Amino acid sequence: MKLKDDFFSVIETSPDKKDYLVSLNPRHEIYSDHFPGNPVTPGVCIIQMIKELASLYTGRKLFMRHASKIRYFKVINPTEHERINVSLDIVPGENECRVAATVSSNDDTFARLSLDFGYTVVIR
Amino acid sequence: MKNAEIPETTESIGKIPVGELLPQKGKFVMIDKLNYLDETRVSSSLTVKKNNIFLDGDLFSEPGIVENIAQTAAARMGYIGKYIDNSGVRIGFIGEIKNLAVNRCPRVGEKLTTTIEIVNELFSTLLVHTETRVDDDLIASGSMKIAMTDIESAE
Repeated sequence: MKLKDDFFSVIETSPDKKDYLVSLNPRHEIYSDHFPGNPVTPGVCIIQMIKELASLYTGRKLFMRHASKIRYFKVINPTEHERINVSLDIVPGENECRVAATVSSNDDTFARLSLDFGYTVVIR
Repeated sequence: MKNAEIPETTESIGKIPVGELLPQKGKFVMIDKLNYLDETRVSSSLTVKKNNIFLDGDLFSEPGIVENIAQTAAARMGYIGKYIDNSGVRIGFIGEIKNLAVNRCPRVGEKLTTTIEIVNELFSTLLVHTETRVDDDLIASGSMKIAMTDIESAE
């Protein structure tokens, strides 16, 4: 599953590639099934989004081998929140990287995630 | 939810179309059927197919595994809502995930069995411990909290 440039798009990236302004696509087909008449960004798609953004930072394909803690505070309705902020605190190691991520808008914090990723294939 | 009224179920539960137990629909349904349900446990199965939306090449990705776990818990809540306490099938969300280890991603054709143990059930929040296996191979394990809303699922 790849969500970037389809389910979400990166509008702005900070020079250190740790802070992203992201737009969500409320017309994506996932929203017709999650849930019919009540579109909500799936929590698992937020995990995938963090994985893809952390992959931009590291330049490597990542595999989430451990989620130490993920907390979802508030749901994202993509028609109400078309733009969200994602900030990453990344500690890259030789064989893995640790990522602490916050997903928020001006007024709300939607989720905080502490994830460990292993490197798999280098992205060509 | 009145747990004492949940009868142990085995074969008959596998015949219920899971779409009736879940608020998720269509391509986002990430379990094929329930295998078993009692007061403290629920088990589901999913065979990874080629058109699964969570595929990375021929691998079922980590978010797909997490969704499979969440929907196993959700289907239990849906079963209770539909058949036990008549509160209906309602929309729920993942509240928290803790210490979830993913050992590998299953391949297309492999069958996941996810077994959830209810650690705590308080009002509309379910705390579970979960294990997902392909045969004897442990794919993922950890804890998850699911929060149920008052919003009824669309038919």
